[in-house]
Amino acid sequence: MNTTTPSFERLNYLLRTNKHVERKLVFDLLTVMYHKLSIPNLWYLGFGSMWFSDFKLAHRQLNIKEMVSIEHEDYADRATFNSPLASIKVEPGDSSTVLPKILDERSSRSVVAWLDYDGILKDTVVSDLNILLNKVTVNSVVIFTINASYGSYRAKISDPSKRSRNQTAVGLIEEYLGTAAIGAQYQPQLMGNGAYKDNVKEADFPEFLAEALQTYIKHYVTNGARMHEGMEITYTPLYKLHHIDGADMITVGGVLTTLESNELWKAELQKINILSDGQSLPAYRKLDLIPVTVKEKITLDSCLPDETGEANYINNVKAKGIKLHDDELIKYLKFYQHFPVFVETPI
Amino acid sequence: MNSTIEATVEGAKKIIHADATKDFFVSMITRDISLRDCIFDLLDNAIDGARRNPAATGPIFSGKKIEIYFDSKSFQIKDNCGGLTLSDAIDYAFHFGRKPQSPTDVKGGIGLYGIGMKRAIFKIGLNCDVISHASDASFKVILDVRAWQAKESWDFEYESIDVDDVKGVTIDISNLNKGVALSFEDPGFKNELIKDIARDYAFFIQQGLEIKVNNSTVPSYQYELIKSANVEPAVLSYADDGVDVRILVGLVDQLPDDIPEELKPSAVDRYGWFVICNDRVVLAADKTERTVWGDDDFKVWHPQYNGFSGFVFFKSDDQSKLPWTTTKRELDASSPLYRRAIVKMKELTDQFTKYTALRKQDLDAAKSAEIEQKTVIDVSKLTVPQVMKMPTITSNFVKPTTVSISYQRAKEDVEAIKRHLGYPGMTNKDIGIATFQFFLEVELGK
Repeated sequence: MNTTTPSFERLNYLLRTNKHVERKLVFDLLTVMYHKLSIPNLWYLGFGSMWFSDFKLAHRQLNIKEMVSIEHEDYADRATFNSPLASIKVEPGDSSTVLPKILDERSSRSVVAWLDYDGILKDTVVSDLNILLNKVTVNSVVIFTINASYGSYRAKISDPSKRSRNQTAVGLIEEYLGTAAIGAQYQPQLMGNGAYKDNVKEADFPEFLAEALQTYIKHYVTNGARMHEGMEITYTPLYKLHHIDGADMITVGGVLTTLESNELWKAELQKINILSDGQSLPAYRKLDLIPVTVKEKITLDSCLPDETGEANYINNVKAKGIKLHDDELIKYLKFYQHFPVFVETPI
Repeated sequence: MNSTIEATVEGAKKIIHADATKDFFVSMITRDISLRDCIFDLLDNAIDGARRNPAATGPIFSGKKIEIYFDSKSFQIKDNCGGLTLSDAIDYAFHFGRKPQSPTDVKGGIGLYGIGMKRAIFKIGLNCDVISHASDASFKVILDVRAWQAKESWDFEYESIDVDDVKGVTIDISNLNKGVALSFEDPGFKNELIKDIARDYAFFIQQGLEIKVNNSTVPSYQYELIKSANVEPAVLSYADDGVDVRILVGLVDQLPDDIPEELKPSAVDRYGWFVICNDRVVLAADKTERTVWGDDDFKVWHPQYNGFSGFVFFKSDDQSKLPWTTTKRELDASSPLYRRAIVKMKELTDQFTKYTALRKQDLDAAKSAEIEQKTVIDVSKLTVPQVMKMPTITSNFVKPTTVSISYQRAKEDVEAIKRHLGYPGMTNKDIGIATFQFFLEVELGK
């Protein structure tokens, strides 16, 4: 696969099952909270690409009218053509360059900002994150999606016995996010000959990265000591999601609040079992469901909801002829209410 | 915060009263010390307790454990290091400042009766229970800072409690001060605290001490220097006014070929001078005039010295002779003991920096010689005095056979090459070398 081609020229964004589930989970919480808080003049910021899936949800579920999509200059015209709503403004340019101006023009208004990157974490992504955290006002939600594949961060070198610290996956993340973001249990191990090796398994790397990003954001906001109407601005984490539609991608984010309103957000998060760890913090959730056919979905849904337990549900659906593996059935059970099925329709 | 200044007339004298208020006192003693260093003060007290009650067999701190817990509502430090005796608590440990007749601190200790524990409590919160189980008694001191500030007496009250077989101290603090609660809620604070404890208490952890922070065990940290066929660190030992001084200088990493464009702190946090007093790291990776760099016209730190590590150990049974300040974060620059050590540190640093200049005459030969049969040696094992050894570089001028190549290229293209080579963190310099090498191999067959 040619990795320099923009991702929207390689993938149809509308057909990513797990991304779809993730999007629904993210917006479900936002819908409840923003209706409760009645925030005036809320606006939306993102990388809409050519499909604007999150923009449509923002308009429908959050009733947001003003929306800004940042797009590379070379593709901005095509994005403008594909914009589904009149109130979406496509802003051409590099995100680091245009973000400050976009935010300053709307500084007093809360924003839902979801920056969904194709690639890996790097200095420019951290810089964008810092710009948002420095400028957005309270009750703004900041969400980032980045590639979390271990192999994308760990340097491919010919002699692993000479691996330097920044050639380990965790060492590279430490360079971007700083040492405070890296838990002691993840620190690269120093070998006897001065070389390093990673202390995190490939399968656990996305969870590590999600946790490191959440720690970075919390630390950055705490140290920034911003104030709003005499009260400290604090960061409440909301999302720690990992979806796989091909590549490992993580989505982390949270809301900037004052101490007054953060309890409301935490309380609402706690009600959503799929998102919460039961203690007002987001749980790490992996979304790697396989696509199902229309016939399979209808059959599975006909056995749900099922309060009698996983084993009983599995027996029921198998009795109806479903031929999916048990692991996939359990995943479907957890996320069925958000699960899409993609069909081809004649237009 | 203020002192109360009032005037009265007593008999024939006109008196101006200048009693310090408790508010002023609390504010002053907590102002100039960080939250982290207050936690370190509590660790130091626990370690001194362990030193008074050493392990019967094996390393001195074997079996000793200190556990720290905190969240946005409370802080706790709990140890099994022997406890605070009731007699010490009544007469000395809670006293503000050292009483003249107070017993000498434990030999080789690091805590300072008179300030550390109270300062930490005042810094962290408004309510505190100090529970001690020691050989002579078990007791609890309950401190409500606001109530204490409101009364005239400076004394605290205690109550006897049931005896526990595990002898140690537990300090519980609640009703946290505002900034403290925010720090404790920040997971980055916890990660940095663990990293700093690992670095600054490495020599205690090496001797068997276990420290945990919110259930995470503080890892061991290795202080090492390189030894090879042509490289030996310098080791100098001497006694000075009741203090044993040991100075080590050498390489902890390979010296750089050239000056990098930029470096993050984690890339250089093993380079510079480390000052250790009674096994407690006071200054780590120092590159400032607090040690030698730029002190009294001595050369300032330069990235050319990346790879340099110097250690100066001060050890004394009488900790008041050690050249540190009450925060244990600074050295007392006016201490004659420290000034004399600085002279020797500069001499050894000079030998090293002269080599870093000399090696440029034949970089390839220098690099090969530096790493030939390379091993690393724990600094605790470097006790026998020896002179520094570095590779011999001929001082005859050699006509350079290399040239520098430097050019600008589009960031997008450079990022694409990094992705292609599978090394996202590659430096621009290494990309230049790799692409140059590729051309040599593919086009010129070299």
